[in-house]
Amino acid sequence: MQYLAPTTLDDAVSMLAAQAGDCRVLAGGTDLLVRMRSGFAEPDAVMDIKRIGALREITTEDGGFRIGAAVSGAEMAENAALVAAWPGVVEAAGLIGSTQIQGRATMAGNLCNASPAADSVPAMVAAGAVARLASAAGTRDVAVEDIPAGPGKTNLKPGEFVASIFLPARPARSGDAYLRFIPRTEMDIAVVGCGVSLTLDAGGTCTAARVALGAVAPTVILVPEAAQAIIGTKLDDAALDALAAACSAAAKPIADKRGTVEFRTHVAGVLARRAATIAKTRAGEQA
Amino acid sequence: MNAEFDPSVGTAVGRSTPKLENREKVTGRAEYIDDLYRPNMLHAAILGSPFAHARILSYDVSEALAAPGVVGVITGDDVPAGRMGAFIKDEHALAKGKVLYLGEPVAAVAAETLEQARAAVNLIRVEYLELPAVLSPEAGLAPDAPILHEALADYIKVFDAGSTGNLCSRTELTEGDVDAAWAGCAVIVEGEFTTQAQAHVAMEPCGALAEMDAQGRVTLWSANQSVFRVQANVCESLQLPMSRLRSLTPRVGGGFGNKMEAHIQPLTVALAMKTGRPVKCVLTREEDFEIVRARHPFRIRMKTGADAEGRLIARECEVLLDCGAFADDSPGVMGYALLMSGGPYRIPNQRATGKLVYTNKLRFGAYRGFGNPQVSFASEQQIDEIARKLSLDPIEMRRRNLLQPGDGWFVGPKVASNGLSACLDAVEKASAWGRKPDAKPGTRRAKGIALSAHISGLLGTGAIVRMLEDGTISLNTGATDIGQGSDTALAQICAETLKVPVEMVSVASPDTDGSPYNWGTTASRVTYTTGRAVAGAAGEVLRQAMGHAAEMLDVPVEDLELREGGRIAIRGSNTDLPFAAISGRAHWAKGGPIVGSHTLVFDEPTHDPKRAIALGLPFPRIGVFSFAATVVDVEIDEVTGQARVTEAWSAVDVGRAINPRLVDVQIEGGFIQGMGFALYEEMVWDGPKLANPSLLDYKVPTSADSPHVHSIIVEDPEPSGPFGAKGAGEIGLNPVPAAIANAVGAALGGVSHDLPLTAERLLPRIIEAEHAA
Repeated sequence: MQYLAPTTLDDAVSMLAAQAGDCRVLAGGTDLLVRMRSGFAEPDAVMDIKRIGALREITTEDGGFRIGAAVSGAEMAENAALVAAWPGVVEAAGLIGSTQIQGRATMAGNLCNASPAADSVPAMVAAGAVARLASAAGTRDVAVEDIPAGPGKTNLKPGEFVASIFLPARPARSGDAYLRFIPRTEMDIAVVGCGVSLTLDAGGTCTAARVALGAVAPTVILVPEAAQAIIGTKLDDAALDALAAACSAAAKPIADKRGTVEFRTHVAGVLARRAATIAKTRAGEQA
Repeated sequence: MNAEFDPSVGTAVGRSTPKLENREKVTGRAEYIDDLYRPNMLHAAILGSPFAHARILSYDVSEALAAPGVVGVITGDDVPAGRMGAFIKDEHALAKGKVLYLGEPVAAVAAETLEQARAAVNLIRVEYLELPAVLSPEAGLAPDAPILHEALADYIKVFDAGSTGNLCSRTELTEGDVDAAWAGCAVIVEGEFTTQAQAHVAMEPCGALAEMDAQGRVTLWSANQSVFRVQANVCESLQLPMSRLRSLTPRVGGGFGNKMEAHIQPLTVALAMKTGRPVKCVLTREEDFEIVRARHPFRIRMKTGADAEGRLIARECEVLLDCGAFADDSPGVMGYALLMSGGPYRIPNQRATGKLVYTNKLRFGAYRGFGNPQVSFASEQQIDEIARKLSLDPIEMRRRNLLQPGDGWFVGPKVASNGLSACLDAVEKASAWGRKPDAKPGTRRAKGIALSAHISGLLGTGAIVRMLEDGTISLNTGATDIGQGSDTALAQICAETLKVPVEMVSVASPDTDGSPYNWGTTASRVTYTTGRAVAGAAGEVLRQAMGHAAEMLDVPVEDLELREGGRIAIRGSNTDLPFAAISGRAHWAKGGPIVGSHTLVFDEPTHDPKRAIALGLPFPRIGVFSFAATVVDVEIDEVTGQARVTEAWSAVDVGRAINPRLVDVQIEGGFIQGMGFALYEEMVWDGPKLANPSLLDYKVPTSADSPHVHSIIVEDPEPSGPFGAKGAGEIGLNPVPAAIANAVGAALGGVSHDLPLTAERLLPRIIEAEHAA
């Protein structure tokens, strides 16, 4: 097995293009190295992107944030401006693994691992995050919800990898939140996850919203009906009931060792309600 | 030096001496099995069965043997026909003729590197004839069920097991007249309960390293709870004389019952003998889940009756246990569970019966609590149920029924020290029981209580204490310290007896060549049972030292006394002799080196034939009871059903705390393990295959899940115990699932019939209660 360690994005895309066999991109390695160690992944080459300076930075762009693919969850949590603008996304990334894992795990890696239960992905989808894909052919921007194709599968083309994730600028009175249900308190895999991002007007009426669910379908799903249920409302009980109902209706989970269909469907609604309430409070605090 | 120890202040027993090996562990110097290497050592990998039940028709190991680095391969054809087992000898070193559970080791490879061994194991070809599998005890008892052990009748059994078909053993205990007693009850409650399989998840997975010398004698290091059980199991299965095998132990990273009986020691020895080279085999976490052992799933039918004042009159308990593929400790677990099924109460009429059934699953065996948490889950909920029906407070209900000082235990064991009432008082006060906790909006919250008792006296043990030339002390017991701190506690008992600082006592690592027999670090027995041997052996050393001193000072022994710091003095005088002078004389001039030894086997009968009828009792001599009362405060999310323990209080009567801090951590650790069992730990099978053999999908509590556990030590000295001590290892776990279930019952109403109490299970109860209201 070959280990590649490019120091520039240009080198990275050409190295990746030159690989005939199975080459995996290594960021934090918290999924890839575990899979390799347990024999589930046997790549011909591994390309470590942590030496590419540009991919280790969080930069502001058009009032939003561009987060390099090699930025860890711990580094995100230390960026005060990012935490202030997108607390739900940062919290979601911060739920991945333990403190030690936090020093390594990246959102781009979490996205490309393509687990339906990935914690940062519903938060990113709710945030309207856009992934920038790099390849020898150049770059292209793709909505985060369009990256996973199914459990463990992405829509990335050969020779292409996620270089950064962009979180857009926040209008005033915006807030986001991510909640998950786990049997324990920490270091666990989501039975259901829910991300909500919304914007209020000066009167407290919701003018825009995005709602995403994790672990209830083969990929993280955006639920437009759930957003519609709260847009135009002040998130009163009736609106939250409608939101919860829309999320439960959109949830199409499987029953497995981690949870039953009935429970996941029910909890999808519960979490949406709670996440929306937190997002609303955060939006109000911004006013 | 130990900062906490100040010899001028007092004595060794009752002090929270830090564990002797703490420095070694915090600096990473402690060596566990996987840290050991021998020159020329090979690494082993195991091939597991792909079927739950099948006949092995043939092996082809040629491809594996030709693979790079491979030095040897063993299959069932390479191991003798010997069978091992604590109660029923039904298990070979490696599957022979048949496989009985999915994952059962059928072959193993020794190679120069672990990678080569793992690659080669997949090149072994085994031809099977698949047989229908038995996946539940109910299925195992069906008239046309496939039979797992065709030769069961011929197996050696150490008790009257009543084995037949797939019935591994049966036990029946009766006292009083249960059938007649129901008529006199004002309240009767009855219910069915199930508990799940729980994995031990010791921090260190099982492993072994074996090496054969030029004489053909084998030295075996392994992660274990008893070097002597390792020796017995290896020698029985491989048909070796015990003198041919030396069993040793490195540091052990937790056991909880998992490392008491054999795991992969026999096959590792077989590989070392086959290759003539040292072989190390350490299980992966997944293998540790899949091929060692786990806590038994129980199906319990229980019925309890009381009079109108809440006094218990009758209790009936019927259990059905999944044994898994091999008997292991199962007959003991079932017998013990039945013995404990009445709880620490006066119940004049009791009947407890059980069936243990072979299934094509991983063997179930010893696990902290040994069947007690399972029956307590049923028993303690029925106490609360009766209290509710009679509008009695759960504590008042219990107080009316407590086993009183002087009372014996169900079936017959004597109970000497009994601090149960003090435990109940302590948790009532500490938890402010009478004050109802405030529930946050969207939550239900309540307290729950449960009581428990557990034995600590059984089987054989010994100690050798030597006074070294300079008067310092060497202690050798053969008891493996599995991380709980028994080396420290035993050193304290030795130091206390000889009035020397703990630092003057060295503790020898268990070694079947040099240590006296010790059945094992299990059953909460080391402090009590081995502690007695240590006190006896140290007492013998003192007797000899006194004899020397009397001759040296030319006074009668009666005029001498032992003083702090290890000095023997003439009473009322400043004339004294340090141990160094006495030991020097013994070594070089007169009498010979001072060595004291003491051995014992716990011999008080379990069964009193005048009191009860017992059939199929697997352990004829056990006793010495510790007691506990546990209160939990539980909060339940009304919309998800998720329960959390917010705070806990646990009072445990340990007779005398030799080392209070080590007792505290037993209480805390037992609580957390019991909470995991109550709320989320569950081994799940998908047909014959374990579906969650990983720390990703098998949920053990983390520190963030753990509430503040207030541990309260109660000391009602045990007359036969060393300095009054009794066991503390398991009792802290036993009442926890029951206490949590009782809190859930208080918060939501109703009885919890099935463990674990997951959100999925509790949510429908909340919704039902809302509909009813």
